Amino acid sequence: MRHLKKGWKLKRTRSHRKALLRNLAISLLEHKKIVTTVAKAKALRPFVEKIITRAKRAVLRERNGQLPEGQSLDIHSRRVVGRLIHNKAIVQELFDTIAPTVIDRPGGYTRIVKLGFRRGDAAELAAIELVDWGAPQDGAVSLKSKKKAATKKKTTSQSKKLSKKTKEEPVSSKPEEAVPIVEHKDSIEPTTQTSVVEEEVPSFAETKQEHETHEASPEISSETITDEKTELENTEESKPQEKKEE
Amino acid sequence: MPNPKRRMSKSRRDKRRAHYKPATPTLSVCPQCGAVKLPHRACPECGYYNGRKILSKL
Repeated sequence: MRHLKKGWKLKRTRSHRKALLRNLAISLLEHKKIVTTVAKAKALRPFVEKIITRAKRAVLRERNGQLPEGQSLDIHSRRVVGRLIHNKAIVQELFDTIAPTVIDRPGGYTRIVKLGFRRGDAAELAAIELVDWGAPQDGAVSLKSKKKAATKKKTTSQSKKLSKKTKEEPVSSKPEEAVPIVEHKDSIEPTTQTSVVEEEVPSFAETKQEHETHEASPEISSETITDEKTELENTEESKPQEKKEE
Repeated sequence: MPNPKRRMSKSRRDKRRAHYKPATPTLSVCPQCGAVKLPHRACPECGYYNGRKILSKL
């Protein structure tokens, strides 16, 4: 029975496990976000959160002047944490920047997000990050999902035919911004030309902007607009493929 | 010792094995990019989970 047997053994001896958790904690505090296995992330969470809480309370004591006479820093807490975090720079950062940032947070400083399975040993990976350093919820889901879902339904069935059409079109008829994307698209299928490679990999934001400019430009006929839309989508879809080829 | 009287024919063996098949994983659709992904995991295509960019590698 596992009554009261909490924690993760991680198939390691006690000393090995201790070293692993310390290393993971140092990495997490240094980089604010690390990718590891789910089991290690879950084992790390209580370990590192206790350390952060210790630092947080020390900072609170320093601010409220609840220290022994003649002390301005909670030296004892720093020493206790230093026993677990064998890295002076990280201990310094923990007390100087991390603890003051999380000072109003009542625990729960970390977030674990599962990422899927690792190739090779099929271990399930997770990202563990400090909540206050994680990317903010940008609300992109509600905005983008509607747009994309709507356009995808229309175009996916015809996209193959249309992509052939867009190829046959002369490049000169399109506005200048679209040119690198066209090259980028063509460069995927045949052997990659070294001159083009530098220009490709347009970021999400860029493609979005171009998307808008196309809609705004009145010279282009409606047919070309729809073609370019689908083409833009095709390039977005072909990105992952391209990365796999590399 | 009791033993099987007959050798298991390949027909019976294979009939038994006909039902050995992998289960289909439960899948969900990424609300960010519409790709099919595993539930409760960040989308491998766009790196988003819960409206938050988790992965930047694409």
